[in-house]
Amino acid sequence: MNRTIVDFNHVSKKFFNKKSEMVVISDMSFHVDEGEIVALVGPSGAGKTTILNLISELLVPEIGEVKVDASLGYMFQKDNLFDWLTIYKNIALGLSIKRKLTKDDQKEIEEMAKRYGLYDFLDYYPTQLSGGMRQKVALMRTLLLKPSLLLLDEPFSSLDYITRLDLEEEIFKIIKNLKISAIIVTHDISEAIVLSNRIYVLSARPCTVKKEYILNEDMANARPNDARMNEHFQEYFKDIVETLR
Amino acid sequence: MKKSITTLKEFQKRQRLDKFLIVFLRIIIVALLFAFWEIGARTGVINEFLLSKPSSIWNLFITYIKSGELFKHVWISVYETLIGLAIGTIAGLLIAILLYLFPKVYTIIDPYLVVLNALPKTALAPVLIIWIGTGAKGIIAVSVTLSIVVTIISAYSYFVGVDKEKVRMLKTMGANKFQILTKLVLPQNYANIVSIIKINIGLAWVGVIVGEFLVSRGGIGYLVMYGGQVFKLDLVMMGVIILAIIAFIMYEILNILEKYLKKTKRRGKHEK
Ligand SMILES: Nc1ncnc2c1ncn2[C@@H]1O[C@H](COP(=O)(O)OP(=O)(O)O)[C@@H](O)[C@H]1O
Ligand SMILES: [Mg+2]
Repeated sequence: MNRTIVDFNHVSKKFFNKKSEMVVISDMSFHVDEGEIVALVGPSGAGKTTILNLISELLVPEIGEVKVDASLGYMFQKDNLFDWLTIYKNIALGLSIKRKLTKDDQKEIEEMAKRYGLYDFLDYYPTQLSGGMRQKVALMRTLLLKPSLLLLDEPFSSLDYITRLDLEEEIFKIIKNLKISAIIVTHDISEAIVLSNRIYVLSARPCTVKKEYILNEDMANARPNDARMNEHFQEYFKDIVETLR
Repeated sequence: MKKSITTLKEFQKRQRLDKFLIVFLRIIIVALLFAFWEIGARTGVINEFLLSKPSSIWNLFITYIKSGELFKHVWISVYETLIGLAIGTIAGLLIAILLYLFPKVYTIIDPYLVVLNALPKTALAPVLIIWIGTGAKGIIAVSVTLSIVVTIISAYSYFVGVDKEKVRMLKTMGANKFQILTKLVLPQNYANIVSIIKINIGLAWVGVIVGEFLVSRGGIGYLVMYGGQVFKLDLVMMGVIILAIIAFIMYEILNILEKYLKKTKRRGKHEK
């Protein structure tokens, strides 16, 4: 058995405003083990981002317990690149908050950029790059912090379809190569199936786990493009749609 | 039909021509205005006593330059304005930054800021001058009151208006409030801060002129005030025209500075 790195134990989270309170997450339990890619699928406004905020301790639950034993890397729906910084400085942003950059860091950034085909763009500004490249820069910015758990919050939803397929493929490869874990939040069912090995289907607000899917070995290990062609893909897809309805 | 542009050379030529035409027309407009003014005054269509005329303003201008008077008065006003502008803008921005770091304080003082902002600050000018003195200090103080409050309010609202998602991202990277300020809030608002300074140039001038009206010892405001009192309208007009020219020059200097800073920022590449 692999070590559990995220453990949600009967967690509830409310938001208050002047006149009312809103239960966003209600008695939710789930876990992520080391080396897993877990998908959280649910309708918009369900509370998925709130779950990630709880994991990264930007929020604390009223009831229940959130245990996290990993260093986190966060990727958002928007790339959040800073227009006034070069690609190089954007990649280095997270690191520059932690400490002063060293020569070694610079070398590492350059090597990483070479690997992801961004080396020639290090001196460019974000506005000069396409959406897919920008999201890759955002990914490098995250990976440079050496996370052991990637939190992906609908990271591809603003990209065109082909770019999205390519990035899914790439990110899967990276996660497997680095032997890290990931939680991917999405409302795209097919994305969840092809990337993850386990899926939690979430209800609308208040958010709770409706059903857990453990994908079979084949699907879990296949690269996204292959998984999409797998004979079981359709079954999972149909089943999850039913659960969401 | 307009001939279409087929080469870059032609395009650049057309652009230069357009630019030249625009500048040319601008000059023509001013020249015509002054010509009509002069002719109108000489033929009696325009009341020379109320409006003076360009040639007498010019003669006066030459006399003032020769005596060195003009330089003295211009320098007094420019000096007061620059100091007023600097204090109003820098102190205003610093206060806005502090309020951004301690938003609770902002919530508490918000209504006072709103009242201060709505208050016509020139009404405070006599009091300020009594408190602080009739010299340059008092005038600068009047100038500062005009720009500082609006600087605080607008800078603060720019600061809190930055993208919440980006703030959240920096927080997940472990950034503290001060790092969020220096890495995101200030650079993001660079253009806004420049536009605050541009607005403050005008406000600083208003403060200085009002101050000089009140304590009349020197400066362009003093010239205008004195000219009005003795019905020397050419002196009044000269003061106003000089004021317009200097304000324009200050504005342009800022524009050039802005462009230069942008360029040097762009050049800051990392060596490979
Ligand atoms: N800080 C907050 N204060 C109040 N309400 C919030 C806050 N953050 C999120 N919400 C509300 O909680 C609900 C779930 O939000 P979110 O987790 O962003 O959903 P999702 O990511 O699934 O689309 C939404 O209705 C949203 O308006
Ligand atoms: Mg969300």
